[in-house]
Amino acid sequence: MATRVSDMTSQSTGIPGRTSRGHIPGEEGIWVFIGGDLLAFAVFFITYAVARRQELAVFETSQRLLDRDLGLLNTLILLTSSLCVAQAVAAVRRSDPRARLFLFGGIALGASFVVVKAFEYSAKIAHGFTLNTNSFSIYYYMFTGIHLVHVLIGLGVLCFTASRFDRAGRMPGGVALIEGSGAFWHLIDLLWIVLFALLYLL
Amino acid sequence: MNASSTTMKLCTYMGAVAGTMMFVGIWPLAQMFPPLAPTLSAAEVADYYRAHQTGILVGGILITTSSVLFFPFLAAVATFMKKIEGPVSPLTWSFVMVVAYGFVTLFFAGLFFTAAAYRPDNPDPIIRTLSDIAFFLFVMPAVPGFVQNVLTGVVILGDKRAQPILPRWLGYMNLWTGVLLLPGLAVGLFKVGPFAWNGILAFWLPAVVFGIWFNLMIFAMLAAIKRRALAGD
Repeated sequence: MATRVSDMTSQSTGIPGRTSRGHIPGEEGIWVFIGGDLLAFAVFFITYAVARRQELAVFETSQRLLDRDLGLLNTLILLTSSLCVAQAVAAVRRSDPRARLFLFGGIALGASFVVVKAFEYSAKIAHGFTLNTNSFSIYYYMFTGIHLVHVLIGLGVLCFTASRFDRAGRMPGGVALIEGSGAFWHLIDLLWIVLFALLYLL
Repeated sequence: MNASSTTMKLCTYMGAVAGTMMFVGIWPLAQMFPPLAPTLSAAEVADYYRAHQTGILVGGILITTSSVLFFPFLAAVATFMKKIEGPVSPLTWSFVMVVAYGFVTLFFAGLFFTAAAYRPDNPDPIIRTLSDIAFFLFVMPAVPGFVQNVLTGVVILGDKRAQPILPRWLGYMNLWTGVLLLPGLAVGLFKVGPFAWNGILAFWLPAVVFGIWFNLMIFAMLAAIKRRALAGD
């Protein structure tokens, strides 16, 4: 594997050769991380499903306390952010300088997710719904908290990627980098959609 | 095969020795794997220590010894990181400092297990308090673990060589492990549920992930030593 994987920052784009044999976005290694993370969250979701079955009444009453509007707003924010990042990836592939604009848009939306989450948490805490209120609140705060850590790390990764643009707004040799960070950002989006459905809607 | 690669191999294998010792100490000897439930009463915890006194004391010896033996292994990791980073190596130095206090907690965990089991005639709440400290020392140092893994991952992924010293998938593996160790940080907040110190997400998941990480590190480091990745430039 090590011989096939090339360097993140100095890799030449070389897309024509790669598209023909089925192109893996980013580099192979990032999929170790993404696969592993999906596996871990699968364990999270199964644990939640089992706990919910055991205490159905508590979970259902507490779930009704959550602010579905803010949850939906954050879902839309993350989806739009993902769209921006996907546009940025496509723009870098064709050396389009608008890539920078798309990426900054994605980062700004990601940051607003964090702001909305902060308002949501503080409103919940003000209503006396805190970490150890009941077994649902533990899952709510811990799962969304761990997801929030992912968002913050993802924002850091996107900012690092944004720092690789040259003055003209191009990213020579940066296709694997932006594809990899984009894939991570989509993972965060995907996890949130499942979390939103499980915690807010189910 | 030269002297330095033999030393590197020995240091790497020392990790396997330390990991095995720790596991034997905590599991069949002390029978603290999985950990005692945080909800047990002081009397139940104290009775457990009284009933398993010898096993816990011998387990304590193995756990404290293993914490020391982890360091040659960690030094081998640091040697790889130094090689990748080159002469200016702030991440390697950070790693060296972080593992120093991240793994020292294991020594103290063994020490507090010993202290809890040492005097069976102690009042129950004292035994339980010592036991609590031992479990916190064992599970809670998730942050040094997280930082240590992120540093390793970032250094491996920052390798600019055409043939990287350590494979890039190992870099991502380290980042993944780091993230999954994090829930351990919150064990002080819970006595029941998945994030308590015996819970599925704060204990079992990190324990399994740590085991996988540890074995893959040893495997990848031995492979790198075999192809003389550290030789020359």
